[in-house]
Amino acid sequence: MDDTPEGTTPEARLLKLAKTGDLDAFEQLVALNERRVFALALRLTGSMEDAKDATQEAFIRLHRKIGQIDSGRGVGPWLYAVTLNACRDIGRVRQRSRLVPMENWASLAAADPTGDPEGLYADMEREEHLRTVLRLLSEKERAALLLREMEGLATEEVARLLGSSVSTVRSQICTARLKLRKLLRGKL
Amino acid sequence: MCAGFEERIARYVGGDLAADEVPAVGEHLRVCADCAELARELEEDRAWLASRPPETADVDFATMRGEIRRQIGRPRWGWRWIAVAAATVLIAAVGITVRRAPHADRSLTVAARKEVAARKEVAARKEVAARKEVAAPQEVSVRKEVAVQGAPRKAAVLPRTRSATRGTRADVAVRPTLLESPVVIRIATRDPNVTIILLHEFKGELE
Repeated sequence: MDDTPEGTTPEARLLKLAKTGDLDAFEQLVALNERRVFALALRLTGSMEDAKDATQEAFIRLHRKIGQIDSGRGVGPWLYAVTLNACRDIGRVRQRSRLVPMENWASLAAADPTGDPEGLYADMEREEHLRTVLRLLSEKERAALLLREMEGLATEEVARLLGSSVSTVRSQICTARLKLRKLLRGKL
Repeated sequence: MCAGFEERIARYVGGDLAADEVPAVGEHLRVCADCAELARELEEDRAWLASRPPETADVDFATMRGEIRRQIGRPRWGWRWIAVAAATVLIAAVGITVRRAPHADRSLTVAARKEVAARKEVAARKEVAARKEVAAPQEVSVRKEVAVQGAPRKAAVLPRTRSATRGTRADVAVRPTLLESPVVIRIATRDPNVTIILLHEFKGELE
């Protein structure tokens, strides 16, 4: 999701090929961005299943719009936009569970047998707590905060993606930071 | 927590504070332990948000990629395609109708066209004549039945009248002073299956 001149990065080259209908290039483009998109979707939706569906849907939508993507700007802005929309659409139609499925924990521990299971469980518990708290924020606050803090986007870029003014987004991010702090520490 | 600083500190930690306010907030954080603690916690949350969720390691991205590829390789039958298909069918149907519609044969000569017109005129006259025959006045018999409460019904035959049009309607002129109320008029037409019954009751003063 770098903003670099056309043709100077692997992503730019893949985008150019993908625009010509090269499915292998598009698949590589997906591989470059899938973890980041999934992580954002997971925190936006709060559910593993929803995040998987949203990630898949985001890349399918990206493929539909690939001809419209400005090669100079890269897939980043489009990818964030389609991810936000996919998460929003999925969130509207699904009832989300607030429980951590046990299979997640078991498979995670199995995936890293050398790691510290207690530490992993603590991380998952902590992450689940974060996601629970994030759900208590408004949709716009959550999206603004995650795009700013998780993706490191500038406030202006976040405002553009959310279709809001810079001052509104700045205020939303500030409010979300303070709310999150209180919610995470049980002060609200 | 110092009043008025909470929001500014929240902006300060994320680099969203106006440049001219940064020195004052920085100075305040050096002297205020509570506000410094707030800033520390906000920084901690930011670092946490910037980290990747541990579940990311657990996802089978290869399978997901395969599914994405399968989906994008499949033709989409969205509304656009349905609209295009419907428009095509409509255009084809209109085309067939236009081709089948009767129209003047431009290849005929003037004499031939006159002959065709004359034939059409003769046919039209015949049709009009046939219609007139069908619509010829028909006689209908009209009977009057006078029902008097408590007394047997009396029946009387009214003068015959002519139907106005095709046998199912009768133009009956009856002077109301001759009738008693209520009056039942049964109109028999030539068609044995069609009988018209009029029930009339006079109210108020008769002339």
